[in-house]
Amino acid sequence: MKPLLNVENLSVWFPKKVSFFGKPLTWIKAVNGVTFQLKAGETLGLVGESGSGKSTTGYAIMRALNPREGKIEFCPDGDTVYDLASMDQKELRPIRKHFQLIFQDPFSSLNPRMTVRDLIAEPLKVSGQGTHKEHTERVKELMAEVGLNPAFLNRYPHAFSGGQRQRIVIARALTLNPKLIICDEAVSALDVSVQAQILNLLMELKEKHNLAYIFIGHDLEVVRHIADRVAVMYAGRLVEDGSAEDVLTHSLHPYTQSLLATAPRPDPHFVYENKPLSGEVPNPAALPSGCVFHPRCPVAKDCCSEKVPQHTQLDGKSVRCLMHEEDSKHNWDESFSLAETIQDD
Amino acid sequence: MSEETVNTTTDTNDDQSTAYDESQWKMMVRRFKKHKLAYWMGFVLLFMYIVCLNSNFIAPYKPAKIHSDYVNLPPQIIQFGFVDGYTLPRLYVHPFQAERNTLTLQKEYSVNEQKRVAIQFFTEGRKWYFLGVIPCHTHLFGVEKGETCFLLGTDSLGQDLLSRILYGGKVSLLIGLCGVTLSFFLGITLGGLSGFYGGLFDIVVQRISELLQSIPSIPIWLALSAMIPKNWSSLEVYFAMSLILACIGWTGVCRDVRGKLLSLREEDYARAAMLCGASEIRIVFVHLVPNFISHIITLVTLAVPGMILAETMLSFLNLGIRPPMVSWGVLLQEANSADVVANQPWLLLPGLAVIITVLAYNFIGEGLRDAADPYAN
Amino acid sequence: MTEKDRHVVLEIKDIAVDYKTDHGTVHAVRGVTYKVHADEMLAIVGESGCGKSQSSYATMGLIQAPGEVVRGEILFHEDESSAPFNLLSVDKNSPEMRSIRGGKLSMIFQEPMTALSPVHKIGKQIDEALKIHTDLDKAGRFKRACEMLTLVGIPDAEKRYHQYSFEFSGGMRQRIMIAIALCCNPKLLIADEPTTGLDVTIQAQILDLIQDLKKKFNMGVIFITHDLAVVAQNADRVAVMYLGRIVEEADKVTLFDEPQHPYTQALLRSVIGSPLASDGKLKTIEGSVPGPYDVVEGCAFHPRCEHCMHGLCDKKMPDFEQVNDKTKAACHLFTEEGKHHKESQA
Repeated sequence: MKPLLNVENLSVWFPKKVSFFGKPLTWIKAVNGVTFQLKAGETLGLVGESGSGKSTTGYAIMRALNPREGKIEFCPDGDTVYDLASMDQKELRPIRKHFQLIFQDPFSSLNPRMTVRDLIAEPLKVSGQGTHKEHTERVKELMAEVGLNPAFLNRYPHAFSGGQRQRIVIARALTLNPKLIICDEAVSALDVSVQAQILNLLMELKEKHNLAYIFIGHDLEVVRHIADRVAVMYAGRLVEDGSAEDVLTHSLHPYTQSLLATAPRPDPHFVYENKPLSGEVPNPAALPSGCVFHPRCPVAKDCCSEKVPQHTQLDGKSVRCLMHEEDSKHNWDESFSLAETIQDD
Repeated sequence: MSEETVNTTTDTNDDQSTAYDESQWKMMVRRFKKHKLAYWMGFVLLFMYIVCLNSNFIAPYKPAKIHSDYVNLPPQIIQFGFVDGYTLPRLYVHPFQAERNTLTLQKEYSVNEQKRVAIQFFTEGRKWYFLGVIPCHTHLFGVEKGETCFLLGTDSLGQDLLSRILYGGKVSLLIGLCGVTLSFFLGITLGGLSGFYGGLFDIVVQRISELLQSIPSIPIWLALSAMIPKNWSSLEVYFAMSLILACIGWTGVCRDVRGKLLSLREEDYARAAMLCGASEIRIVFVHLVPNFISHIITLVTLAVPGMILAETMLSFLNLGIRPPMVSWGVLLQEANSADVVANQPWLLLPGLAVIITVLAYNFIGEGLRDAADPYAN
Repeated sequence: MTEKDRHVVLEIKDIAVDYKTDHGTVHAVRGVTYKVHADEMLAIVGESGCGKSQSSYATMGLIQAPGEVVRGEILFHEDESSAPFNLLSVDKNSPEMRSIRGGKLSMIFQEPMTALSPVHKIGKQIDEALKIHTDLDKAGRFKRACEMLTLVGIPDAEKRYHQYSFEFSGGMRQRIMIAIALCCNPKLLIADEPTTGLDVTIQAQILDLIQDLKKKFNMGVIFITHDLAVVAQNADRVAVMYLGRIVEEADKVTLFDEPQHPYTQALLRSVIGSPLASDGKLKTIEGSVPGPYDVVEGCAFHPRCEHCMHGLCDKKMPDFEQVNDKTKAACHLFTEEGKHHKESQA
């Protein structure tokens, strides 16, 4: 069985400065060499700070952006493989029904001049399936499925609250029975109790339709709750990925560790042992040499600014840190315990 | 922000659920009505259009009809009372009587206080064509055969000012609309294509519109209208005028449409439509255009007074509409000296009509602008 | 130190704020009472639309028409000996109010991008605040501005003084906002969602900074947020708001460990990662927050409350009172009437 999605060495660069003849001179390297796989019915959490390139990765898979290089192999039925990266928009149109996006902001992602019916039926209309009556039936069915009253068919989005709007967005994404849904910070604009409702809904729908999600988010607790696997991104690179439990409890990369150590938890008894990471995510137009994290890394050594770390398989996780690479391991003392070092810092 | 689920949504009370079903146009109308000044100005404007477009019916005389016995008469005051020959009291005016001054040998007019001339409604008069085809003789009001009435006075040739303002209004009010419709059409087409295709086409269109905007508009109008051959008929001149106005007017609309299109393309919902597999054309016409059409309507409303003023100015300078066709600008030519302003101030009345129209358009435009974005708060 | 000994900086008494709109009057705040002490962070938590920012806006004189403070008192105690000053007794644009706002009382907002002027050097913006609220000379103000920039963790202050806001990142801008807010030694800082929209690591840095400065300046902090995780990490006391009223107030640990009000309990159960939350399917609060124009009789939470007592909760609004030695709450489960009602039902 082929994986649903196989992303290989994906890079997305935006031109920053352009010469007089339109040739890019400098690049904003938003995503660099991202590789991962996703099975049908699986949820991958993509976490990182803003500027880490997590949303850009999502948009590139959706082909709302054009990747610079790499492969995005998508296999909706377990048989035919499409390389989304090499197809043009016209070729993509017929297979777009298999993968959908849920936006972060439910206020801007719904056209204010269309009724709920028209919004949810739009994918059907575009693909030219069914009659007007059939569309209405399908819309009612979907509205009931996402927990909206089907009687509100003819209302405009402004009559709905944030959570309800997000339900409309979800219903629209489900219209054509997709295999993959990319949720770009789908709950972070919502209130706490509404967040829980939407997460429950997403999890229910996943079970029911065997959906695969790429859940892009910055809230580690939310990602831990919903994801089967987690990939951590920093400055356009994947620094660690593995099963959610593994990555979020026994992380190997110092970046993941500091994220986990400082993220606020809704528990007043939790003891924060570490100071928050100093500094900020580097400018993607001028990335540091070697390991991109080294200027902020609490355990960085000289070698980190020289050598680019590669993916290392360790304890079922894939991690990109020199500390875990065979060749450079010796720079860190053998009896070295990372946690202690961070505490001393 | 509230979160409703199926079980609880049904209990929303009724007066609100109607508000929830409101479409953008309904919301716009509701908000426009709240803007009282704009709302009433809408009626003022509607009244002006109805009156001016029916000038054949309402005006007592043809605009060019010369009453050589009655020149430079001041407006008459309509009064209400008994008139000889009628049992019921009715509206009447005192007629003017002319007397030759024995010293200066000039005709002098005085109001004949003794005589009352009844104003009759739906009188028979000169022939006109209803809707341009059905011949009619009925007019809104008039006086008995042999008598005259000049409610707003006459000019130096003895032409009835009321009739001239009504006929002139027809031209002035319509030329604004024609000019705007044309520039609207040009602007939307060019701006739409420019924003849609981008690239070289966009650059060329934008540079041309910048060029047109950077040329001072009065000289270019003057130059273009000087090109209208003197032997053209009034109607041809009329269309040439609106074309000239449109040629300059489209640039604003074009830039606006292009800018809106470019910014709306970046909206999440446009992207969502793209990700549904919608084609570019569908995205533009089904998703984007409805989002800025109200904005364009506002823009157009605000552009009409500019057109009307431009026509008035050109005609005033004798470069636009030419007699015997009348427009408010043509009428104002009469009032171009201090002597006229001092002795026949009623000849400035066409100016008042221009002011009312322009103000009404501006207020309505402002009201529309506030109402156009019903999702602002 | 017990609560009584500590200096109360701000006392809000029964504040109510109404907004008059086309569709009717929105009661944004329906009677809110709280105190903030020196060197204390009071977190006001609630979902959007619950009116959590409104009482602070009233304090700062920022309620704009069609909004109006319809009743209540806001008492500001500048120091322990001075007489309280009712901020609502003067016009919000009066010279007294202007000298207090931005000087003794400061506020930082959610949007550090828009709160700074893009055309003025950031140093000048600090200078402006100092000019209004202190009598320092030019050199003194420059020195103070640089001190403040250093204090909020902006290195190279003398150079950065001359830079514009677009040359700073979001986190840095929020630091500058804090520098401007604190340059006149305020007694009270109101932070309205100051870290929403910032990254986790940056958020942690900013929160750390606010904690440090709170101690250093011995000031009271009102921290308005929807994020319970931030509250659990930083606040001293917490007030939970629902539909324009405080439903529960307690110190942080008590509130998280022994929530009394059914809304607080339900809220904590629905927060991912809280000890009360379940794995797998999350428990959510049934129903919805009533719309702004809906009139709810009695306790605003009763239509969604699992302990709702019919005949009482839907008739009478419970008073906000001490329910045990640690917690104040507004719920009929704890009022005398509620107990009677229960007995009579039984």
